[in-house]
Amino acid sequence: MQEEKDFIRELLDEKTQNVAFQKLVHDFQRPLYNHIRGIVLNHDDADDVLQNTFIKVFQYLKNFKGDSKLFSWMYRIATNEAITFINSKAKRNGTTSEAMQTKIVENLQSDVYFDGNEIQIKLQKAIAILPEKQQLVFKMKYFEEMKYENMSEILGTSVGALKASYHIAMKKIEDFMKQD
Amino acid sequence: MNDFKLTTNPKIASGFTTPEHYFDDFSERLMGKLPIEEPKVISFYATNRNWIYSAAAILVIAFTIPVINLSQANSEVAYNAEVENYITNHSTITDDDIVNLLDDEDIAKLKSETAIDLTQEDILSENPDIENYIYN
Repeated sequence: MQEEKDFIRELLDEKTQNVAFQKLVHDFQRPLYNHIRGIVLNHDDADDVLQNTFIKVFQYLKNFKGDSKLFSWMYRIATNEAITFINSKAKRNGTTSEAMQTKIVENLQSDVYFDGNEIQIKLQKAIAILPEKQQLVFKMKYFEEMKYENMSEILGTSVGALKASYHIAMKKIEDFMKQD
Repeated sequence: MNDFKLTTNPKIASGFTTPEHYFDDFSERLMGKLPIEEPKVISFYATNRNWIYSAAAILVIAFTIPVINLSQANSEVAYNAEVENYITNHSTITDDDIVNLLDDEDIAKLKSETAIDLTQEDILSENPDIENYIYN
């Protein structure tokens, strides 16, 4: 915790800011990218959202109170940015975010930055039909292998509720995967 | 596929990939887009607003006081002159009118103010030029 406080101080100090921020980007770019990509599905969109996330982190760092961990604060920004992005994109295209996601998943095979087999595509289809919160919980637990405690801090939901959500999501996905 | 279980089946990867070297140059691309904080221009007026208002108020008061005093003094002089002119120009006011306006108390005051003892009276009566002294 003291280490994190020192690191935040380095991020806020003009003299050490650049080096510290580059370290922050280096440490978090991959996990945040995976988190964002799981929500927006498309690489170019994930790239845009990841950049916006880091820009916001940079801008609002001086307002970071330290009530939560730096990583969970950044994940919260990334999640909000990604959800806002898909909602705005769906609105621009005159559709709903659910319908847009289903369409993206159906076209995954033609995505140059998707390298998956039939089961992987089916799993993505199964996820796409879940409610937004269950999708988020499932992706964070199954693909990102995040601890419930960390998820709880990011999503502001109790560990018990997250476990229940994950269990329900798993059941729905298994049922979907069993279908021929 | 009928006995599919997420917990027992081998883990299924997401299948998402990124362009080659994407993460190698991400940081560099990002740093170029970060908003540069321009040095804040602190307005002299904004920071010293209270002092400026206070100084302005003091100056206004300082310049106003002599003007008020002068106009008050002028108006007093003008008032006295007006009264004097009025009395002079209204010759219809006779000594009797003035006497009628005086009550017993006023007369008693006049008496005390003009009281002359007997020695003075004798000196005055013996001096033939007394009238000249009084009028001059």
